[in-house]
Amino acid sequence: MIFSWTQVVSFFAVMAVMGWFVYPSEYFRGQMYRDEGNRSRSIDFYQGYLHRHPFHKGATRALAASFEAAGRPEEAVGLLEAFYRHRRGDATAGREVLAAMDNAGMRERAAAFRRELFADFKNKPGADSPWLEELLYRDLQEAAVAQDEAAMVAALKALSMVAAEKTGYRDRMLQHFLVRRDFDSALNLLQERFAQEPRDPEPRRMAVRIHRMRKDRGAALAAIEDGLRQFPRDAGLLAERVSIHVEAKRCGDAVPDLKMLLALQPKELEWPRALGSCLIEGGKLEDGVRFYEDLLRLDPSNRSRWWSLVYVYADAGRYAESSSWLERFLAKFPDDEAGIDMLAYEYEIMERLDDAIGVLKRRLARSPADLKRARALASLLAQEDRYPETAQAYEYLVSRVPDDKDSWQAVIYQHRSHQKFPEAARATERFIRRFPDDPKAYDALASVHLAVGDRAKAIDALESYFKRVGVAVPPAVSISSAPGRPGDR
Amino acid sequence: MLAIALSAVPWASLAARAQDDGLIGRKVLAVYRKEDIKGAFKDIAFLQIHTRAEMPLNHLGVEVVYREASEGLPDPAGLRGYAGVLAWFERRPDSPAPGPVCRWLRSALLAGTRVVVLGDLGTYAPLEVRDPAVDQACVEMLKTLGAEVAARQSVDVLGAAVASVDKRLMGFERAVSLDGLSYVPRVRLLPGGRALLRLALSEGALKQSEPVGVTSRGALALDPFFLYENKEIFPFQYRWVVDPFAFFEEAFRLKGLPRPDVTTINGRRVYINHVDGDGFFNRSELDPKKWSGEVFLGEIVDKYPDTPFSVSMITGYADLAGFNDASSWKLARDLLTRPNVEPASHGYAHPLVWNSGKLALNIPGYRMDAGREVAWSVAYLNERVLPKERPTRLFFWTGDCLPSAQDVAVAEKAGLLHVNGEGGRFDGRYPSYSYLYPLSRQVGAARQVYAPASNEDSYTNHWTGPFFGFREVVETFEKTGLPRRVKPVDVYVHLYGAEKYAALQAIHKVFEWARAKPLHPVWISRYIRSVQGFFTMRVRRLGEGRFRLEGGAPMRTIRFDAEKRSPDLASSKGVIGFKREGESLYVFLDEGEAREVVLSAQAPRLPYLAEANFEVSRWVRDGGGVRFFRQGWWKGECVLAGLAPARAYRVRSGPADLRLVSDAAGTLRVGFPDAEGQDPAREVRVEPQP
Repeated sequence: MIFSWTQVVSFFAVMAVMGWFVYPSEYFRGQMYRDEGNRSRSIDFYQGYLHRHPFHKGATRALAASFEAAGRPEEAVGLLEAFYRHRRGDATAGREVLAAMDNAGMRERAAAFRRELFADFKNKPGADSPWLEELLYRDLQEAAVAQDEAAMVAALKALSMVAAEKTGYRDRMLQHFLVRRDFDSALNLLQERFAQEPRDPEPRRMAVRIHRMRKDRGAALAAIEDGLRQFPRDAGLLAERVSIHVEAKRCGDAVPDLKMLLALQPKELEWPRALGSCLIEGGKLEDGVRFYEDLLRLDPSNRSRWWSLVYVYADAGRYAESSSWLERFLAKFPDDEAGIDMLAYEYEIMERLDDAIGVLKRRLARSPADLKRARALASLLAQEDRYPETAQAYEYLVSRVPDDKDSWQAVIYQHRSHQKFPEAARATERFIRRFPDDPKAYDALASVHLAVGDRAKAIDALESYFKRVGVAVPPAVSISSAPGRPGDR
Repeated sequence: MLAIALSAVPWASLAARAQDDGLIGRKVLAVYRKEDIKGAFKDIAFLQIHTRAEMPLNHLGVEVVYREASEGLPDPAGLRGYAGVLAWFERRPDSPAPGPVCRWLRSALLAGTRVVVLGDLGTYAPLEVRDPAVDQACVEMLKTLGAEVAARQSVDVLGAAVASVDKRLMGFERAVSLDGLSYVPRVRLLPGGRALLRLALSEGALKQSEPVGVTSRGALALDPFFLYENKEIFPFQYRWVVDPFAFFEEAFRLKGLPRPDVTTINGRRVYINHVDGDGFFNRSELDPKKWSGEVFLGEIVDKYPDTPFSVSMITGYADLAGFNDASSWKLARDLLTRPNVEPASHGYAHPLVWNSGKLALNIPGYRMDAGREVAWSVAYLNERVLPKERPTRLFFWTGDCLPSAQDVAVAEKAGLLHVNGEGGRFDGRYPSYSYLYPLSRQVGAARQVYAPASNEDSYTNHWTGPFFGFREVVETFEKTGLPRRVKPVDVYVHLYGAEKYAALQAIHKVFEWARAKPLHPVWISRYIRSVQGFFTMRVRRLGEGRFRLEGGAPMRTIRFDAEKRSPDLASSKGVIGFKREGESLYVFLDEGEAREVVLSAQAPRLPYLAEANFEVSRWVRDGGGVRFFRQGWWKGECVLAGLAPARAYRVRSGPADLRLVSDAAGTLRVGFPDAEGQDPAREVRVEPQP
């Protein structure tokens, strides 16, 4: 023999050992089928393997991959779901299920599975919170896109738990309720936040606003009281209470809060304005006005601050002070038409008519085209029966607006009523030249001539009308037979 | 820089939509600035007008013409061929002030052109400015449009509420929502305007705002109320809040007008299969000894021999070692010369990025050249691969499908039909019309016809898996078919689809779906010609319910929406039939150049075609019957209507000789046992029997 029995036996023993190491395992052999054709062999293989070794992780994954590669993703999803449920709480397995569902386009099933994952992981020690947050955030966004209200709220609630340190989700949930005017849910949420965020006054302010939107004044005030106990110097809460009192026309009740706000936020201009207003409303005009004057000093170019002072006094009937402010206002803004009107009006009330007239005249001197004030002046002069100024004022209007019949007639009336018949006649003649078809004008002219005893001219006036309209003068018509009119002679 | 001419033409009556010669404006001028486009590549392909608004406008029969403001805007007096002007402002930090554009828009309004303004009011203040003022020129323009606007107003969650909504035009894909609202544009429509959305404001001097509305001179729809955006998840989510079809129809006064329609021929939805040649030489996992191209031929093309395929080849493989042997190219020839295959070129080295010249194939010594990629590659196929009697004139754009004007000019000069790019989806992941692309992309003076649907790349994460993903395209086909048919069916794949078993299964599933539907299969070249016809056809109004269609002969379908009348077949010219589907009336035209459609309240009394899955030509009504020529791919089916009721008819075509009886309504359903495919059209005679 070439070899001894020992050598032969040793050789075969070594071969057996090497074979045991090298020969592929059943599982490894299965791997080799994975990329072949329609995957029927690998599917058969792994199904058989899993029958003998249920829930073998590698085989499950391999079988799922084979299903997907064979174009049978639904079976892959079912397989992986079953595997996850067998090993509930395995985050990797959970992720794989979601990925398979996403690949297969199973959106609703994926959304339901995300909720299942959340339920499994939310109380699990050491759970991957960022991953849960990511899952829930996706849920939230998909629900938002789909406008699925219930799903949005559920996702937000879950996110608030999972990412408790991030206030953004709670804020968003609150906004969700508020946009939909679901005030009950919003208030419940805010109540929770009072305890969760004891150092943040914002939830309390929002609660007050909600009560106010519901027009529940009592609840709003109670909420403010409650809030101020925690945050005695919170400007937001104080401001809300001020608004409530002002809305209820109980401005005086707002004064203490306004004084505090003024101290807390000295640069906020709304507080001195409101405080001034409330003091005035409460009868403390001098005290209130001081705040308006302070505001005006800060910005004299702000017209509304001037007007605040003007109206404060005007509303109180103190026209002297009011007009004094107006004078100062107009010194700064000489062309402010509202100011001019108001000052003239106040002068009138105070019976300082010369001053009222002066205001309007000064305006016209600067702005001759201001017809509104020109009319106001004429009207005032007429009211005061100032002749011939009134007539001149109306003549001015006529010169600017030649077609203004009212002004013409006012001129004529002024002359006539002051017995200035020649002037009245001339004015009427001019009127007729402007408005030759106005029959009453001829009548008026005739009347004026008669008033001075000039019958011939009166007849001429009437005849000229008849000529104009092409009517032959009836021979029987004469002044002597014309019906008399009072005052004609 | 801007050349803006204020029109001296006095403002014309808005009711006079048609010109004095009856020509109906079928164009909308889209005004934009290149700074409105994100990124370094300033192409209209990235404008929201193009990606979102143009598809609904195309569906309404409108061509969108783009004009970049700095290149000079046209004299408003010259806009008489336009239905109006569209501007979609976006607030971007690098955009120039909108004043010049607004001044031009105002001049357009004064010249009688309708204007639609979308988006942000072009404030162009730095983004950190909270409530930026509106440019004064835009304020004046909007006042002329019919709206008074002021600087937008910041609001908090309690600051605004919905006061009223026009439910007919709002809430289309998503209800109006004020979630996340931080500001409100302050708008008040002037008398004559109609608010589609009115908000009640609890703060500020203005107690209401009307950010979406139609005026007597156009319309406006302002952010964020007409299009919803959510970029917190991927894919980014968009939904139309306003109904873009109804909104543009009203804004541009398009109601009642005939709409050229590329989705339908003879009453059946167009069905295309087109294949890019990428991956011909990839090994297939179905049989590692075979190329994917060979597997595709056996598993798809030969499995459905009655279905037309437009298949392209990348010619550069011929210059690459390993792929340039005779047997490989014999396979390519076998594929491209199948009777049901229309061959095309897919470039030489398959540019991936046309703008930069990046190529897919690394061919030694070659740098991208448009002439070689486009014209030369087609010539190569004609000379080296295809038989002389079956040359090709078809080119499929490659890669990003964003050729330049020069690239497209090469194709046009070579007389090629060219297609590819975009498409769009409308399914569970992209559940909105806003993801659908328009018919084409304006490139210089030419148009690049887009593919009607997206290919499997979009469904398989750029071919990294899941490889079965393409089966989801069926949902897009369904949603783009009902309730509105906005796209034909286009099964658009690559040859590498045969590389993966799962992908091939998905393709089969899609084909099974398509073959079970009443579709009209065509080669893609047919579709391209229809699209060209869409753009060249002119529509002239001859009177009430009378329209002349000039040019665009390949455009064989006109659609009327919400039209109760029917075509008066006796008075019309070149109208061979019609069909109602839902709210739409599809009118079928013959192959002539000048056709007239006359509508009548009376039902037609002449025989007509009610639907067919084949092309019809030389249509003649003859002695109570009809004669025509048919050419189609699937076994011929058609429905003839307007015949005598319960009457016997003899139908002859080729070897088929059928005796059929019309029903009580005078309708005859005809099924032919064969189809012509590439063979010449066959005559059909339908004759009443005694």
